[in-house]
Amino acid sequence: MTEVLDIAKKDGRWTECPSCKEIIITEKLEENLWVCPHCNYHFRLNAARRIVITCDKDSFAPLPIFAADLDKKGGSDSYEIDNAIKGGMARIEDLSCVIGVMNFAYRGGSMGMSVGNAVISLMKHAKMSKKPLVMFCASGGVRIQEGIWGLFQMLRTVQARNFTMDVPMITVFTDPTLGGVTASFAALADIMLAEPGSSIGFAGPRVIENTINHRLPPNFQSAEMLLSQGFLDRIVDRHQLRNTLAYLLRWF
Amino acid sequence: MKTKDHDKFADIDKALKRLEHSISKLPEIDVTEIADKVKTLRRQLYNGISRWESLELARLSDRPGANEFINIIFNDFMELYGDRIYGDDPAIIGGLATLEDIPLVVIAHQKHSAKKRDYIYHHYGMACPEGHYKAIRLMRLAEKFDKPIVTFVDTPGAYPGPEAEYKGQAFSIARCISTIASVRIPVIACIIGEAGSGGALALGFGDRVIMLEHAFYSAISPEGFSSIIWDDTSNKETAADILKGTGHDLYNSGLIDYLVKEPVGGAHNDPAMVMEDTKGAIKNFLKELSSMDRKDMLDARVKKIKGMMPRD
Repeated sequence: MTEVLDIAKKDGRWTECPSCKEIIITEKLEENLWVCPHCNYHFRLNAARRIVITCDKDSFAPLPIFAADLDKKGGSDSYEIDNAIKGGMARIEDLSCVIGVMNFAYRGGSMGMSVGNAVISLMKHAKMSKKPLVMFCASGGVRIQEGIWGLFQMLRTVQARNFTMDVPMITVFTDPTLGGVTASFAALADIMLAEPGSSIGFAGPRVIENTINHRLPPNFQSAEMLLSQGFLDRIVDRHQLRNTLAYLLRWF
Repeated sequence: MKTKDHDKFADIDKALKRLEHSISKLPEIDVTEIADKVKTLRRQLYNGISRWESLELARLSDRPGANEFINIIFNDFMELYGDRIYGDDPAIIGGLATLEDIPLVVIAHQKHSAKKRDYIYHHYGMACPEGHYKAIRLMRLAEKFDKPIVTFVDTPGAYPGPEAEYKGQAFSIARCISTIASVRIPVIACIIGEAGSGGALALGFGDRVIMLEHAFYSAISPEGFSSIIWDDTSNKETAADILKGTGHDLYNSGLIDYLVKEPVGGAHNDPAMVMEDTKGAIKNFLKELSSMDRKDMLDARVKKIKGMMPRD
C-alpha cells in the first residue's frame, strides 16, 4: 500500500499535507485553491499559480517596463526577473489594479537588485496609471549574495514607496515573509493582509533560537500572533481573498 | 561576537604596547633603532589585513564607541530618552548637541558604556522597536525645528529576540528607514564600527555618509552568511570577501562620501586623530548641505538612492 502511495505522490497525482499528513488527491487540492480540506493548511504557491487563482481569467498582462528600467549590471537578467517576481496589470472581479507576486520557490524569494527594481517599477507604474497596487509577498529577506547592494534594495524600495504614498497599496503576506522584505516596502502598505498560518517577521526562527537558546512556541511569528499584536489588518482565508481584494479595490 | 579568536588583535596590541613600554624604559642606550623596528613590525602586522580581520578590528571592545565620538566631537550633548510609546532602548542613544554653534540632533547605536564596557545593558547595540521609534521621534523633532541630524552606526544588526518580534521589529525598521530617507533636513551618517543588516540601515543612510576604514557595512555578518550558504560558520573569511563591506570597498563603489583613515592597528590606537578627522568631515558636510537649497538637497538625495547600483 505504501509503495502505491509513494508512486502516486511521486508522479504528482496525490499530495501529502505537510501539516496534518493527510494524503490528498492533487486535482482536488487544485480545485480547493491548494488549501488542505482537512486542516485548512495553506500550501505555498508559486507566482504563476497565485496569479491564476487571484486574477480574473486571462486578465493578467505582464508589464514590459521591467527590462527598460534596469541598469546594465546585476539587473538585466530577464530570466531572473521572470522567476523571482511576476508583475503586471490585472483585474480582480473586474476591478483593475497593478499586481506583484514574489516567488518563494526561486532562491527563497530573496530581494536582490532585480527584484528591487521590479518592485520599484511596479510602484511607479501604479502611480502613473493611477491604479492600486497589490503586492503578494513571500521572501526570506535580502539577497545576501549581493552583499551591500542587496541590503540597499530595502532603502530603494522604501524610497519608491515614500514617493508613491498616494497610491493605495495592499500587502498580502504569504508564507513565509521575513527579513528585509517585511522590514521595508511590505510594511509600508495602507492595508496589510495575511494568509492564515503564514510566518511573518524580521529575524528567522533559527537565529532567534540561537539568541535565546530556547525552542520557540509553534505559533511564534505566525499571522495570528501578528494580528493579535496589532500589526495586521486582517487574516484572510485563500477562498475569501479575491472577495476581500475586490472589496478593497472598490473602496479605494 | 564572543568567540576566542576575536581577541587576537587585542592580544597582539597588548604585547606590542608592553614591548614599546619596556623599550622606552631602557636606560642610557639609543633606543630609537629598536623602537623603529617595533613600529615596522606593527605596520607589517596590519599591512594588507583581510576583510575578515578588518571586521575583527571593528568589533574590538577597545574601539571607541558612539558615546566617545559624541562627547569629543560635540560640545554639549544632552541625552533624551524614550520613544514616547512604551519604552526606552539603551541600544540607541540620542539627543541634542551643538557642533561649534550649530545646534543639531544626534542619534547613535551604543554598543557598550564607555568605561564599564557593559554590553548586556546596551544589548550589544542591537536595537529593539522602541529604539527605532525613539530614532523616528528624534528625527521628527529635528525636522520640526529645522536642525540637521548626525547619526553614528555601530551595531551587529537589529535585536533578533522574541520580545522584539512581538513588538513588530520589521515594521519599526521599515518606518525608521522611511523616515530617515524622507526627513526634509540634512542627514549625515557616520559608520564607525560594525553595521549589519536592516538594523544598521535604520540609521545608516544620509545625504552624506562618512565611514571609518575598518568599519564593516553589510547585509549580514560573515558568520551568518557562511552558516546560510555553507551550513557552518567556518567559511567566514570567504564570506567577508564576498560581502565586501569594509570602508575601502564602499568608498570604491561610491556608496560613501568620506573615508576616515584609521591609524595602524585600528581606531583605538589613536582615537583623538580619528575623531578629529570625523569631526572635520561632519563640519564640512554640514556647511556644504546647509548652504544648499533645500529642494536641491532633497532632489540630490533621491538621485543618490536611485543611483545605488554597481557601476560596471
